Amino acid sequence: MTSDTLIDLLEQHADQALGELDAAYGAYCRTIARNILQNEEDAEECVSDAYLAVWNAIPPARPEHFKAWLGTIVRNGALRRKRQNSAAEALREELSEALPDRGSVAGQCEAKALGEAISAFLRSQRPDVRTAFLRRYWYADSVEAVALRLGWSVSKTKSALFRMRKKLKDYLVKEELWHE
Amino acid sequence: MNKETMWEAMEHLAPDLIEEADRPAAPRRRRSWSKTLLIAAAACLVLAVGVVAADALFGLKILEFANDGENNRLTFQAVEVTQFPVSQFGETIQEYIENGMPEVGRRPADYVAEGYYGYVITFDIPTFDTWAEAADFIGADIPLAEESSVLSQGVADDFCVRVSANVVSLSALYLLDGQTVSCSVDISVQGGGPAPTYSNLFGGSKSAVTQQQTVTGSGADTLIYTVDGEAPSCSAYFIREGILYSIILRDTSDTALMEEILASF
Repeated sequence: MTSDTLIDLLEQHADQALGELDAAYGAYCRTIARNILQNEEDAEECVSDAYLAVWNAIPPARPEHFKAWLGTIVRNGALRRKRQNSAAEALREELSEALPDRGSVAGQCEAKALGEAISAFLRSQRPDVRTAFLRRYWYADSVEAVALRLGWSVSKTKSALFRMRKKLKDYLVKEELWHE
Repeated sequence: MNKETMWEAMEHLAPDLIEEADRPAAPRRRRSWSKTLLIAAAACLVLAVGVVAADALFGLKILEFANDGENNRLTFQAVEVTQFPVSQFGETIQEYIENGMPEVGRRPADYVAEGYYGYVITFDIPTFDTWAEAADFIGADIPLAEESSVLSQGVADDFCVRVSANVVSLSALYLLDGQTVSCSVDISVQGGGPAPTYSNLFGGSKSAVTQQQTVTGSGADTLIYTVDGEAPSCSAYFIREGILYSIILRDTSDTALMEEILASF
């Protein structure tokens, strides 16, 4: 089933819409939730909450990139559900190494603008390291899972992520998104 | 606030990038054996005990090749390395060059050779999980090669960085398909004194040591020493952008793996 057809069903609030949603994207949603929450039961509840959010959002929403939009709902829900989760906190700590040591977000730069800048930075990187970065920091895959997905060793994966965080830090300073 | 901003920014990444990262990865192609380097058989040379090189070959000068009754010992000096200014190293490295590495402890030595102090000193040796982190610690301005794509397929112990007045070293021990591979990098320090000398012990006094020449993937001329017999080994030395690299395989004289590793430098 294409995402457009699924969105049509959701717009109509058809009986089979959520079943089709789960069939098409259930595994994807559960992986994201499980990576962050580290708990099967919490992950199931999180995914259910996300489906409810989708049901309520469509219509009027009709997202162009449905999968990413859905993943974002699940991810945000998981992060909200367990903000003190040690795995999520460790990931935030790791990613914060990409921040320059001193200073603050320049002027009126908000998270949205920073996100756009990070996207631009990621587009300038090789596809495999881009995937490694996103799998680790957006999908919250473990380093081992990222390595397995890309066919890399764990050592190479850690090195690649370290270099990406460093490059991102240099990029943010160079683009004057971060004043030291 | 800083960590939060970065974390919140991840919510606003371009959706096409997010979806791209969830596509199945393309299958990796196996390394083509036809791309591995072949050792120039014509350049094989069996070292004779007592040989001393008049000139440096590929920046390495043999000072001595001796037999002590049990082992063959090759001693050489890396004479064509770059001596890097102290300021080119990372901040902590500069401090260690200036003041020495921090001591963790010292104890009286069990045996004191003539001319030596009677202490064993333990230093706090910086160790890292990855080659990249160790390289960053050494200094971004030092032209250290990226980690070998062949070695990175293996499992590595800690990456250790040792500092003395005349050389900064990075060393790691990899386990690659059951084979132990030692990889060391030595970066000379400007004003630290003469170029360091290196000794390699080849076990088995009756075993011949063969010297061969080859080239790494980046074009660095390389010397490979192999020995068969009771204690086989294969060692390679090359200078790349002024830095000395040493790769040692113990318990094997098979050069095929060494060729593959050198191709990745």
